[in-house]
Amino acid sequence: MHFEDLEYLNSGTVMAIVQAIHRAKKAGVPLEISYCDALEWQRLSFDPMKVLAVPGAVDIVAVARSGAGA
Amino acid sequence: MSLRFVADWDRIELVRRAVCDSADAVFADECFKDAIGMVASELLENAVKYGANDALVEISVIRSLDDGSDVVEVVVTNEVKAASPSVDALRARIAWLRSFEDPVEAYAAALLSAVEDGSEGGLGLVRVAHEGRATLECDVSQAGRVRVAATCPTPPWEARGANAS
Repeated sequence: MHFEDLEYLNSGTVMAIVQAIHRAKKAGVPLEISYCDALEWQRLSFDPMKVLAVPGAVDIVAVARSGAGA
Repeated sequence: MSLRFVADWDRIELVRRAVCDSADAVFADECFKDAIGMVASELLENAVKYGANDALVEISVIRSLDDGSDVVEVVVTNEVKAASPSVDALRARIAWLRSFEDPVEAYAAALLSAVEDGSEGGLGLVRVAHEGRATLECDVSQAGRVRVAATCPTPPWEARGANAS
């Protein structure tokens, strides 16, 4: 799931992402969530989500630049 | 800036953009623009979600330079439904937030709690404190109007979250 090009997300969307992570874990479906490290709001929103990550199964990945596509 | 309008989900994004543009005009800081827009949007969402139906919501965004400080105060005021439990929940959430030394710890705890019990309650306020660097206060008038104030320091800030891997 790519969020690099996103301009804004509200807490309801944060909740939806958290639930997607939870369901992916339960179902054993690999999931990678990527965000733009150059955007401070994305770094502040997504970096703490790493507490929910399981390396190799559910990864929260900072990428250097936006433009990776959605 | 100060706006008053009937509580309505569709207007929140328009107001968020107006707040972003105003902050951009004054501070020309991309990070602050995003942060102050998020603060306004999350407080308005709470007002619409927990406020009385079709009631007026007020938002003011004011820069204060008093006492040598430089802050922007985002204040949202709305009417709540009679006997609404949301005011007590609001107070409890703000008290809970203050129990953390760093708001990022509160955000991480709220995310884990959201996974465990599926509760979304208060996640917006946690983001306001964490991403907006805001100090939160609330009070309730005898007329049943709730006032939530987020006081945000203005840039330049010390970089946060820059150690992301």
